[in-house]
Formats: sequence, structure tokens, C-alpha cells
Amino acid sequence: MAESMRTRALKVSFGKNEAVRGVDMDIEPRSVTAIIGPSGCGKTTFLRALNRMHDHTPAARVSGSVFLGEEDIYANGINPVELRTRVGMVFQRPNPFPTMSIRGNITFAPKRHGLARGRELDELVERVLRQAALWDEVKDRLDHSATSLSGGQQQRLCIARALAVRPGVLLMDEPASALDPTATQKIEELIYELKKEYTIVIVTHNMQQAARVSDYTAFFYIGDLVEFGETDAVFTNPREEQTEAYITGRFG
Amino acid sequence: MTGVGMPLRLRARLFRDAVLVALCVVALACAVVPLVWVLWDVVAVGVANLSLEFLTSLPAPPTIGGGGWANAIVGSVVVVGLAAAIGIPVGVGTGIYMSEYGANPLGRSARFLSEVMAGLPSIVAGVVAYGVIVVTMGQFSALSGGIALSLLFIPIVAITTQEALQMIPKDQREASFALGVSEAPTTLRVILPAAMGNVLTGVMIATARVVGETAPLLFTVFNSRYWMEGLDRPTATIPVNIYSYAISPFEHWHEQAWTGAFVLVTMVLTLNVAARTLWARRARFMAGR
Ligand SMILES: Nc1ncnc2c1ncn2[C@@H]1O[C@H](COP(=O)(O)OP(=O)(O)O)[C@@H](O)[C@H]1O
Ligand SMILES: [Mg+2]
Repeated sequence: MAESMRTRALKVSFGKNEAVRGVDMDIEPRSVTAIIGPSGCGKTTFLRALNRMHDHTPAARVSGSVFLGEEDIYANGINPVELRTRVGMVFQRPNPFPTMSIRGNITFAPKRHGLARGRELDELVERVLRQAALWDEVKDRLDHSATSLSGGQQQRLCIARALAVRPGVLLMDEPASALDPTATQKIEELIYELKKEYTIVIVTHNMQQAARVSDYTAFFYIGDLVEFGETDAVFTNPREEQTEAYITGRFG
Repeated sequence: MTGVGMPLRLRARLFRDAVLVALCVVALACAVVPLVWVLWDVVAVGVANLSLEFLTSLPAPPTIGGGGWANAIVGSVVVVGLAAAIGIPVGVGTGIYMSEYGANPLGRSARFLSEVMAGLPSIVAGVVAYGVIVVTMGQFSALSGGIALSLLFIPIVAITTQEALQMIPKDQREASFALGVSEAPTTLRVILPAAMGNVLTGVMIATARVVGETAPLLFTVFNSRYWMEGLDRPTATIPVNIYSYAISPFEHWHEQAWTGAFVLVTMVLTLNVAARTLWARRARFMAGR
């Protein structure tokens, strides 16, 4: 079930380097929020704070709060492992498990979480592969290695794999940056379909992509959230000069 | 450009290259010729006396002739099997700890200790097992031999496992964490399988190292002319047999020592080929072919 997210005074630092400097953002359910900004401005760092991936980076310090629905995910008693079944993530480079089959990649986590068994697993595999628009291409070779797929197919498999644990929110960090234009278009179409059921936050350095797929756009600059609003407004009528300079390509 | 200087310099350089290549070939020959020679001897002399009797019967007294090493073959398989049964779980476990949780003094000490132990002279492992187990039990035993060999087995597997796990890209761990899978199953189901090829290589190297060890076995399993009676009893093994047959005054036993060496080499080779064949299938799968 799609959930909303909110950040309040969210800061992330690596030692002395403050990569995210106090961000307040409201993320609407069943919508696509794009995060844009020049490289190194903290987009990835912000995204990884939303599912507590920084817990695995000893140097990272997170402060402020992040709400999933009404729950503060950094509060005591929240289990970050369980949290990630509700806030899924797709990475910049496709990272399927090479030792597992296409099916195995998808069923790995649901089996561990006890979400499905036996026939249910087959149904789950088909459902998420259809959602990821990959079913027709792989239905005859589900037992082949995930690495036998092309880069674009691997990324869609990673999306299917993330959907299989039924998250409410899906975080995507430049999911198409390693892909060719055709594969990129497929991913974009997919995002458009997925937002009917999921809350999606996507980092992209491609402005056209942000304009095409997102409902809301956040512009980051050196760790600050400079501008945030409906995508149309941000692109046609930015409030901040920095935003305008960036989207018109004067820097970045 | 003078037109004369360049070709001269060039010729000098080509000459230096040729000398280097020649030196490398000589070095290679120094390494390969004795190896081929030894293998040739082992095969030629060893095969000549290989018989069903050698593989299936007990030793005969030297005055009678004939007889076989069946008890020693079984003994070696059991003792090395024990070493592997102890060495694989302990070594892999230590390697996992060092790689995944080892960024602390305990992890660093474990690594240091593994490196020291990997260089441990095998006779020391024998003396340790003798002092700790043989003396306590009051007799030589297959078990103490297995433990002595495991002291040599563990550090090799631990170090190769740690290095194999560390070669797996971070994004594999993150992919698993992002699915809400916790650390232990991520390590065991995602990272370890991806590293299995190199872990297996470590196990093969360790097995090949211990299977021919003689010194530690002299102190621990000792020897026996009979079938193995139990893990707590002295037992015949191929390396110890080679040693005692080779220094005996009997020509017939010398020949059997060669045959034993041939059987030992064949066992290591077979194990290696079998493991590699099994692994090749898996590797092809992972490579998407
Ligand atoms: N694991 C890390 N350790 C130290 N510094 C990091 C780490 N990850 C990111 N940073 C730093 O945080 C800043 C923001 O990086 P990042 O979020 O990756 O930017 P973006 O995704 O917008 O390109 C950079 O200065 C980067 O060097
Ligand atoms: Mg980034």
C-alpha cells in the first residue's frame, strides 16, 4: 500500500562533510517525486536516508526525522531491516544476484519473509515480472541466470525483485543512467505505471527525464533543498534563480 | 635524427628484450624440468607396480612379497577427511568473521594469527597435536592426525575465504539489505555463494597441502599394518607408508613406495579435476551462459 513520507530537518554527514543540510520535504503517496541537482549535491545521500541504508556506512551520521506515514523511522524500536520491506530501493547499476536464477532473484526475499510459498511464489513471480514489463521477455527462461539478461532487463528484474516484497515506497537512484535509450524509455514507462500503486522517489541527473516522469521535483544544491514543488511549476516557472540556472543548463 | 644512432639504440633494446626472454625461459626450465622428471618417475615406476592387489589388500611381510596399501589408502582418506571436516567449517567461519565483522582488534588478531599459522612448519602442528591429544588419550590415533592436519588446513581456508568475500562488490550486500534481508542470510545466501569459486580453490589448495604431509602424522596417527580399527587407534596413511617403505632395505618395498606416491598424486589430481568440473558448470551459470 502506497505510503507518504516526510522529512524534517534531515541532515546527513560523513565526518566533517555535511552532505545533506537540513531538508524538509513532503512526499505524496501514489506520485513520482524527482530529485535533481548537480553531481555531488547529496541526492543519493538523501535517498539512502529514506530507508536507513546509511546504517551500514559507519562514517555516516543522520539527524532529524523521517516519517513513513506517521511513524518516525529513526525512532527507537524501529527495525531497519523490517523498514526496508516497506521502503524498497533500486540502485544506479543493476545488481541482480549472479548466483541465482531470474526466478530465484525474485523469490529470495519473499521466501525469507514468509510472504509466499509453493504456487503462490509462481504467481508472485509472474505478477511482479508483468508489473516490471519483463514477463514476456523472460517467461520461458525463468531458471536461467539473472546475468544472462541485458543491462536494461537486469534493471527491470531489480525493480521486479524490489516489488516482490510489497513495499509502499520505491526509491530509485538514477535507475536508467547505465542504460541505452530504448531501455531507458522502458523504465520510464514502467515508472508511469507503477505510480498508480506505489510512492516513487527517483533521483535523476537527466532533466528531460524528471520533466517526463515526475509529478513533483526537488532541486538540490550542495546539500540544500533549494526548490521543491509541482514539476510543471519548477520547470516552467522556477522561484529560485539557482534552479533556473540549473534547468536551463547554465551550470551542472 | 642521425640515421645511424636510432637503429643502433633500437638494436640494443631488442637485444636486451631477447636476453630477458631467454633468461625467463631458462628460469622456467629450471622450474619445470625437475617437476616433470619427478612426475615422470612417479608415473613410470608407480604404474609399473600398480595392481588390484595393491589397492585392495593389506601389507604383506617383505620376505613374502606382494601385499597392498588398502589400509593406508583408507587411512589417508579418513585422516584428510577429518582435517577437512574440521578445517572447512572453522576456516570458512573464521574467514567470514574476518571479512564481514573483522574491523576490530579481534578480527585483526585473527588475520595475523591465520597468516602466522599458514606459515607454520608442519612438524610443529604434529608436535602440538601430540602434546595435546596423543599424550592425553595415551595413544596414537587417526583423530589426532586429523586435528594436526586441520591446524594446517584452517588458516589457508580462512585467508582465502576472507579474500574471496572481500572481492564481492558492495552492491551485492546493499541489494540484499534493501530487500529487508538481514546480515546473516545476506552473508550466507548472497555473498558466500558468489565467492564460492575462490573459497573452493582455497579448500583445494589446503587439501593438496595436507594430503602429502608426513611429519605431523608420524607423531599422531603413527602407523598400523591392519585395517583401521577406529578413529581412536593408530592408523596407516599413504605418506607415512611412503616414508617407512622408502627407507627400508627391501627393493620390493621401494617399488611399493613409488606406487603409493602415484596413488597419492592421482587422488589429489582427481579431487581437483572433480571440483573444477563441478564448479565450471556453476561459473557458466553465473556468467549467464
Ligand atoms: N560513503 C560516503 N563516505 C563519505 N562521503 C560520502 C559518502 N557518500 C557520499 N559522500 C559525500 O557526500 C556528498 C554527496 O554525495 P552524493 O549523495 O553521492 O551526491 P549525488 O548523488 O548528488 O551525486 C559528496 O560530497 C560525497 O563525497
Ligand atoms: Mg548519486
